[in-house]
Amino acid sequence: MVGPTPEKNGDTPRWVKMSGFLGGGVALLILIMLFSGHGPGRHIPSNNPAVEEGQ
Amino acid sequence: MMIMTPSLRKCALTAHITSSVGLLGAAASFLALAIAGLASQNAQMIRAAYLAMELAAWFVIVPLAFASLLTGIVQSIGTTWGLFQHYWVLAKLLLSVFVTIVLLLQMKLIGYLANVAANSILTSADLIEARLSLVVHAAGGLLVLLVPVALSVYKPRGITPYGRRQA
Repeated sequence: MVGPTPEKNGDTPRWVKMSGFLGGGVALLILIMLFSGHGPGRHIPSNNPAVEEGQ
Repeated sequence: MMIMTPSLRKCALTAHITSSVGLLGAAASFLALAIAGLASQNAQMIRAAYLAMELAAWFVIVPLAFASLLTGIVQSIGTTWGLFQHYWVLAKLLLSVFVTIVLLLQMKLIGYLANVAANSILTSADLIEARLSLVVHAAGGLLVLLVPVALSVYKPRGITPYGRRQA
């Protein structure tokens, strides 16, 4: 079950810390992928007529 | 803070649950089509899958994603939960925004594959990376969409610093 950790004096719950850590890791991974050329649109040829005529 | 009347709150909650659960179902259907488009050996099946995926994405998934996000914001600011006062509400907001951004970024690829499928015969080996990318993103999106559902049910405790100042 997700985080029923009791809060003491306004402490951040453990599930928030874990989620923040996980989210930070995912964000870092996405940034690395973007800067290594794995961003959105890399599968689409830039001179593809199907894209230019469509959408 | 503006608090909704009980009847309006129930109406907003119904809209939020309908759009969110509908989005989950639509994403599952989209994943099934993406897998069919990737794994099928039948050219007709591949064509049909990508054409259906584009329609489903533009006319079901994108509207439901925005509806879910909008009704969630209305639901939170119109009740005592607030939008930034509880970590679980904030987490739902961030996940919904993230899913919507990734979905919109994928729309170009979905349109491209639908266009290629409409104008040529796609074999099982054509554009394999692009087709695999759709399966991966659809599966990832479906998993991420399950988290807000769980957060809504369990409502794990935790008040943000902003929420503590407001209390």
